[in-house]
Amino acid sequence: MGDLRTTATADDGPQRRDLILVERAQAGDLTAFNDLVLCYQDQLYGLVARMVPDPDQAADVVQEAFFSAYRNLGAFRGGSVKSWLSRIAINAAMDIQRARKRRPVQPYPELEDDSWQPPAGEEADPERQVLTGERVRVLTAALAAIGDDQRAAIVLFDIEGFDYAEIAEMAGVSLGTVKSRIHRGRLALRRGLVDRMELFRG
Amino acid sequence: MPRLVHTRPDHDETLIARLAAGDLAEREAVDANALVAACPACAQLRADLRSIMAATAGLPAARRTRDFRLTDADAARLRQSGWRRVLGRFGDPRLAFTKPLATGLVALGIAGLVLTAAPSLIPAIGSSGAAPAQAPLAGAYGPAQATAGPAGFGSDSGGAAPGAGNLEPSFRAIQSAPPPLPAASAAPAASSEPAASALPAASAGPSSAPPADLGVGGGTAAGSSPAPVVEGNPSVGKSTEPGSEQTEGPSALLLVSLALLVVGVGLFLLRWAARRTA
Repeated sequence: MGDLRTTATADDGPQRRDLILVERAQAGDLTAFNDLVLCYQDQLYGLVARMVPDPDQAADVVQEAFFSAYRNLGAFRGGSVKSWLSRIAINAAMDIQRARKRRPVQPYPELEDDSWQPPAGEEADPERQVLTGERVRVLTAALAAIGDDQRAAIVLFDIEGFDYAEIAEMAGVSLGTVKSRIHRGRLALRRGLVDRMELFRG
Repeated sequence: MPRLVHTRPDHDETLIARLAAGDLAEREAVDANALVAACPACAQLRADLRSIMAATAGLPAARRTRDFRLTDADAARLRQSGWRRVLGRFGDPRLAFTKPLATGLVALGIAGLVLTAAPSLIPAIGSSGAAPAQAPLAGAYGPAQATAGPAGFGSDSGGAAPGAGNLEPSFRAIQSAPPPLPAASAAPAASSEPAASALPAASAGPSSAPPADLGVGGGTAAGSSPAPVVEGNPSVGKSTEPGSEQTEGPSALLLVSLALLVVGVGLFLLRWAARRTA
């Protein structure tokens, strides 16, 4: 495994590594698949946690996404493994969200969860910490309040760093739709933050 | 607490959002920048959107609480075999065409069923209009015609039978359907009489002949084969008239429609099951 990573070049290294791992996993190598899991579990959890408010549920979604990826290894036709996994995770998260809307239990429990606090450096100013924590809290709440499609697009673009084309491919929509979702989502965020915008200014 | 200054309603907020994201073409950007320069609320909106973008990008990642690596037991459970592998192929993107195909088949099936059912619905819908026209006929032809059963008279009468023999069963169903209300009012007179009493009536004399004669549809039927006149006895009609066999059973259109519907729904179910197992 270490050899595979070191043989990859700087530019296409992760992609080459992923393809090799997928190929080995397709041949039945569970260790290769678990190496992929190790590479992407943090990123996928971070992505899903933005979509699914409950951390336990988010973890279940990520686990299901990896199960689904393993089951469908044969359906992988090349391209970006990261995008492929993200698409599976996003779809699983959307399914959970839809089910949640049908049976609402407790809205946004993550707002009380410590795991959403930013990591505090020892040198951090306490006032600044409080401000940052408050900013994260209100922004997370506003993000949770906008539409699923808009939130997914914003998370993928602003947080995960995918470009418009990648998001369009993942979501199965046009480039224009992705842009529209992002722009409208940001406008919706601003409306949601209407009374707390001073936290973000200056 | 500073309040938001709302942009004027005629100012395009999406344009400002696109400007803030740097998604505008050069010419559009010039217009948008001019708008921002002239409208303080638009300038505030652009600044806020940029702040939100920066804050969103800087959101801390949630901490993972679990290791998601698969165990050997997970892998063994998840490995597809047999029917699950076959089923899984329906979820393959290359078979995405099965969705519109299934939709088309279901639509055709439903359309076929509607077409099959429509003729039998027409008399029900238009019974109020059709009844007066049929009532005099029922009166003129007598009770036997008015209460004629499907097997006895549908293919037997001289005028109507040849045409009816070529019709689809569904259309024959119209012909053999119970007559509308006014016509049916003539029926009790006939049905109050025993069927057996109608038989002698056919040969008794001119006064009683017309109902049986016209009802059967010809002198041959009235004279030599009075049996079809017997009301409510389909077996008699079938045995005497070979053509009456064609009136039984569903039409080809109905069968094809049902088949299309079943195949279409089956495809939908397969796709759904493939997605569930995926």
